[in-house]
Amino acid sequence: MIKQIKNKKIKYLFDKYFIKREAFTVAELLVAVGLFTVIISISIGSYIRMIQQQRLMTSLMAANDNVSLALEQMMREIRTGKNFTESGFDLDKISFVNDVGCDITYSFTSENSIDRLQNGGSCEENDGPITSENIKVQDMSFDVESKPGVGIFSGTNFELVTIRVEISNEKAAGVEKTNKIETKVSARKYFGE
Amino acid sequence: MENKKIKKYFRVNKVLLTDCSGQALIEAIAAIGIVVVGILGTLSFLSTSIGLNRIVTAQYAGTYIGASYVEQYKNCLDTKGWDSKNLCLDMGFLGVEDKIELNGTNFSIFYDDSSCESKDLGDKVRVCVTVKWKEKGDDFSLSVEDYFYNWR
Repeated sequence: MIKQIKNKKIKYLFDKYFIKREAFTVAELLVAVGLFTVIISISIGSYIRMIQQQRLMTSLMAANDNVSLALEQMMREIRTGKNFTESGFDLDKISFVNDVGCDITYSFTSENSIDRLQNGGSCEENDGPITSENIKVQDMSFDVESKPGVGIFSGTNFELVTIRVEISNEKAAGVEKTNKIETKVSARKYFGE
Repeated sequence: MENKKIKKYFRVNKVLLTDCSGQALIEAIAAIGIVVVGILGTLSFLSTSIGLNRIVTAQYAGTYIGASYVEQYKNCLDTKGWDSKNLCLDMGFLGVEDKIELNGTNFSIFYDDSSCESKDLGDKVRVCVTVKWKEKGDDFSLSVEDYFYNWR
């Protein structure tokens, strides 16, 4: 009996002195909320920048692909063409006769695109841009070098056309990237044309 | 008397008997470490993706530069004839510059026989031009290759 009374007293005293208080203090709460806010703001900021970068990369790759296709088209036609002349302000235009006898002109337009004009000969008139709206052609120039043939090719000039294009992507997240491309194409003149 | 003793015992040993439910230093270090690694990882990913923009742009420009040298070789072959096929492989003979600057990147153009040899194969010529450039301290290179035949 005495032992029981003693145990009860000990339990009472233990509870009195060491009762477990299961709550956060204001300071703990403030620190936790503060840390959470800082980490979340940094993470969301990084995430938003990553999305912007991804958009920028996509638009830049689309612009590069597009100008690549336009260049391929021009190069293919120049390879099989003849009678090249560059003209226009800053030599931003090239005219020649293509393999089926059409007069072709590639030019840099004020709408920031590359235009292909086809007329003359037996060809139907056709005019239009060969670049899409999602790229901006900032500059383009042509340089035609005529290299005289030697030996059995003397009397024939072999043209080497330099194409310089400067493009930029559609503005993504307020950023515009510019890319300059320069290449050369040699006209094939197999029959001394 | 006994009650007093018990009370004293509890008072004296309060600190020792208290359930200390805080975090250990090692736990805190590990937690902070994980958060820091996470944030730094995201930031490095971001910076890599920004760097990739320039690399992709330089690769595009580099490919066209390489192709332009192959075209110059073809022009030389057409102008001088098939007998000059080996002479045209000489960049000095072609009179072309072996360095070009585009978009703030310096490209150097050369024949790298160790990875891609330009050579006379009898009835055809293999032309392989290597374009090399530096971007953010790293070396990048690409090779453009073409074959030309004596079909005239």
